[in-house]
Amino acid sequence: MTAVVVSPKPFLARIPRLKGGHGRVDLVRPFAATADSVSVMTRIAAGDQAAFAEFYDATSRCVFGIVLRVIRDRAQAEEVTQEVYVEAWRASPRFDPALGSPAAWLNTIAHRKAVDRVRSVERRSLREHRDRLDNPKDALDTAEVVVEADEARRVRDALGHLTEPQRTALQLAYYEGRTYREVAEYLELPLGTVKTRIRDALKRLRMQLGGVQ
Amino acid sequence: MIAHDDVYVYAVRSLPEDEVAQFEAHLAECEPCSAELAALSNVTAELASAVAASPPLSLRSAVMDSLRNAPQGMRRSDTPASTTTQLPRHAATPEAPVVPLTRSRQPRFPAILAAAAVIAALGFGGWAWQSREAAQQQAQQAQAQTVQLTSLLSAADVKTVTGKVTTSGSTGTVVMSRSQHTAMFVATGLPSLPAGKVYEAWTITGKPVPAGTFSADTGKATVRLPPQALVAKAVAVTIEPAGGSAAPTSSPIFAVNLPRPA
Repeated sequence: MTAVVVSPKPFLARIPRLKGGHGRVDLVRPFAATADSVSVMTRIAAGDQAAFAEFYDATSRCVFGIVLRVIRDRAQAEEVTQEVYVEAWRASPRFDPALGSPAAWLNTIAHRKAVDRVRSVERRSLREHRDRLDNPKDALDTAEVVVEADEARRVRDALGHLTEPQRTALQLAYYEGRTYREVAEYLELPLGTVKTRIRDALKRLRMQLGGVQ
Repeated sequence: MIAHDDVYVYAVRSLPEDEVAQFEAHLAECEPCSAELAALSNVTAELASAVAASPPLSLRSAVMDSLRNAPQGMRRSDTPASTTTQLPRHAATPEAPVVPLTRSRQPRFPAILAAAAVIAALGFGGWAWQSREAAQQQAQQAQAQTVQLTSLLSAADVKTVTGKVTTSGSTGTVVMSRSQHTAMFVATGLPSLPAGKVYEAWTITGKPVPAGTFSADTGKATVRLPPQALVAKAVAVTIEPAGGSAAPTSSPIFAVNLPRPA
């Protein structure tokens, strides 16, 4: 109970499996910067709450999903998801379609807030942190099940084109919210190697997912 | 070259805090990195979509309600040129979770006085001070909680419901504001628990729903309750095995009925 340094084992053990799986999940694919989604953002920026409700309905499963995946605690994930949307509402007038789709913009906020929450919790309470590692709870199962759903196949297939080391580095960094230094420590690799793996993983993913603007 | 490569690590939010500022300074100057980051945001969005999960239905109304207290920022055309990039930056994240919901509120003096009185009555001023002398993590947590609590108590519609803690005769209080979408449980004089036991809070509407576990090492607890507390009929606390239970396995040591939503 006194160990503060986290061994690589629990993290690796909790990485979702990426092969096989069946099931149906209604995965909204709101990530294209369509004229529609941009015009919704324009209405939102003008204070249109009905437009924001539409935006919420189109994106909340993705936002809540990634927040839950990183935080692994439903109550906290709900709280953070709410903060994400409040920030999106506030910041909507500054949204610039030239810099990405509305949903990609929203997702960046969601991931950032989730990772920040995990890191601040870890800073503030190492005990809570250890509890979190010892009790992955159902949050993990939810994420794993969904990752294996058919509709996620495209991403799963793309991840399948990464080398195992690239995939591991990307998953620890993105889904687990680990800094590249932590990833290096867990995997016992030089810092530069981890950076390179993350870079190569993202480049290859982008190629695989192709056509995603 | 090294700075350019950091855009990938930055895009998955994997740069440690102390390297973020340095990279963001570079990013502000570097066209190619900005463009790369925008492209990468679509890739990470795909990664997020792979783990989609349905939020509870209640979250939608909580989100929509909270917009009322969240005025929108300036338009892009109104902002200084140096802040035109729209991608959220690390530095923009407030520390305390409740800040985004309250930052816009002007402090109202009577409410602040009331807040101070309640905090004093609960012994939280002293608690925060003591904690600062204790371990650093504890201090940070205490400060964050005090900030949360102060902010909550300054809400126009704050309600407090106090009840007895049966195991000690001390009191516990649920503090809630529906406009701030925040409910907290605060207590002093809680008996410390044997190893392997934790306190677990519950919100009750029909069946009790877990609302978080906590310990009370110094006899004091400040627990932020999940959003469902705002619409629950009651809040209770039981003693459960470490890790918490899905349903209560012991009698409540604290239970209060909550005021009905307006």
